[in-house]
Amino acid sequence: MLEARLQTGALLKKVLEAIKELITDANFDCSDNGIALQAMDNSHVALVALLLRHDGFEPYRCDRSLALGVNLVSLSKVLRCAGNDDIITLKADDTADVLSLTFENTDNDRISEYELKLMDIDSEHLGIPDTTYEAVVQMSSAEFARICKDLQVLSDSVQIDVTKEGVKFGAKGELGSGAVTLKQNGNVDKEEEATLIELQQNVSLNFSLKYLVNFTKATPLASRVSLSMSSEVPLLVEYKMEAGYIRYYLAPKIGEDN
Amino acid sequence: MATSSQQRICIGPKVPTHADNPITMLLPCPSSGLPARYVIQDGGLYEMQMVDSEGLRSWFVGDTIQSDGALYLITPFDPVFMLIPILDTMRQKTADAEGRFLMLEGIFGSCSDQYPSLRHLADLKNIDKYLALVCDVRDSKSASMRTFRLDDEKVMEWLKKKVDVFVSKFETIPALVDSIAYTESLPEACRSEAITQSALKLISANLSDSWATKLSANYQFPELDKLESRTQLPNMSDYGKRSGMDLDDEPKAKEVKKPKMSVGQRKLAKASTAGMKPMTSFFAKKT
Repeated sequence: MLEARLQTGALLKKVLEAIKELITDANFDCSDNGIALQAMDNSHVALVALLLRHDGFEPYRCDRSLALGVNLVSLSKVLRCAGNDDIITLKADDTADVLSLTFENTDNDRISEYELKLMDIDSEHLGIPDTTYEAVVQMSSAEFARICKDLQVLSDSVQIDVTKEGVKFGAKGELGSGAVTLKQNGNVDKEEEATLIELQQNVSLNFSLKYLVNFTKATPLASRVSLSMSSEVPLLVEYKMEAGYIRYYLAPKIGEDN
Repeated sequence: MATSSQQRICIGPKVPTHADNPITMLLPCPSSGLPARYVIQDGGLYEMQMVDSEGLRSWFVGDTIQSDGALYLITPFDPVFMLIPILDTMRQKTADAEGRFLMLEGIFGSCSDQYPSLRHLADLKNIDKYLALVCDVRDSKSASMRTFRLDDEKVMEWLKKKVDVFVSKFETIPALVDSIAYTESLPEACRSEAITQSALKLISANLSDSWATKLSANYQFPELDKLESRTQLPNMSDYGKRSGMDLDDEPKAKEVKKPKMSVGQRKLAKASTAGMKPMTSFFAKKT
């Protein structure tokens, strides 16, 4: 059985907002280690991997590995019934028929209980190896969201060029063209806004902006985002949380001259 | 069994009252080669496994609480599994030479830089007999001059026998019978293949990859392969994870109506994925 109590319910709400725009149904794989989810979007060109580690919950208990098949739209609807300050407790027994959610509000002694029907989902897990990327850019997550939104006006795809001087996001379309360049800086005053680049080799890759904009739904989860790139392998967009992460992988567009 | 002043909770075999103190030691795990904990007591080899609580659980012992919540399991371990990889490295077989014969001390003595505890294996009861099961033995005039060299054919014979023993005892172990429950509605030929396959997997769990591949080359599962092409069989790793696995699930899946898409997904549906390869071409499916 699973029992996981989360002090800040807002976290779970934000996590759901971040993944429900990409995937419909998915298994929450619960184990000793925490709650994990891995799923691909309908076109199979993007993948999301979520981990909520056990130490993010207090208490966390999972005696046996469980796969909870959830429709994410339904779950996010139920979570909308929870306040941002509510304590959320997730419970499921070994049969994994329903997921019970309890929202406790300590201010006005309100307790609400919901049960969500679960389903059997055939999921294929992909083994994602730990790789060293040619370029890793760490930047403000809000800045990344803004760049993607702005460039979407011009084109459906963005070219990301990383050199040791900085990272350039460029888009070209019928309307015209545009580019945003962020210089590498170790801005000590505003650590949250600094752009940091670790580079083995310059990279230049094209990605679908619609997908990147979709990934930025995770912006409320973390103030920083890291973009890891190597030529001809999927881009990794990672938002790190206090006890866990949300990682998006996106296949590059190959053979397109922008 | 208290190995030190620290108390642990442990399930192990019954120990005679006058038995020697157990020796716990690190030895290379036969399948991975990584260090793992083993116990020798009264000339027998035991494998020690720990169910780690990662600090999340503790034990009640009488009226006290013990903070170490781990459970230790000590089970007899066939020394031959341990011997195969050691002998394999020690004989120094090359493409054109069969390798060298070694005396008992030579086998466990010189390779002990990383694992000094290996020398304890030489003290196991009937170690000569265990070695003879998988080795060519050369007897010199005095018994103490016996030398051994791993013999691939003997190893295969022994492993196959081991599989046979497992198959014959299979039905007596409920957990194993449950693991092949999916074959209940299938023909007998299929079921017996599933039993052999399961036994093979359990034996291979104690072998290095190269030996496991060699062993499995001796077995074919035509009926299961036929079945596999029709439906995906649950493998051992699924066992225990999913309850109520039902092969009749397939027709139901078709009735499921197309799930509604969220706003973001509808937007993505319009996105051009030209020039983008699917994730499965970058990352391999887990089996």
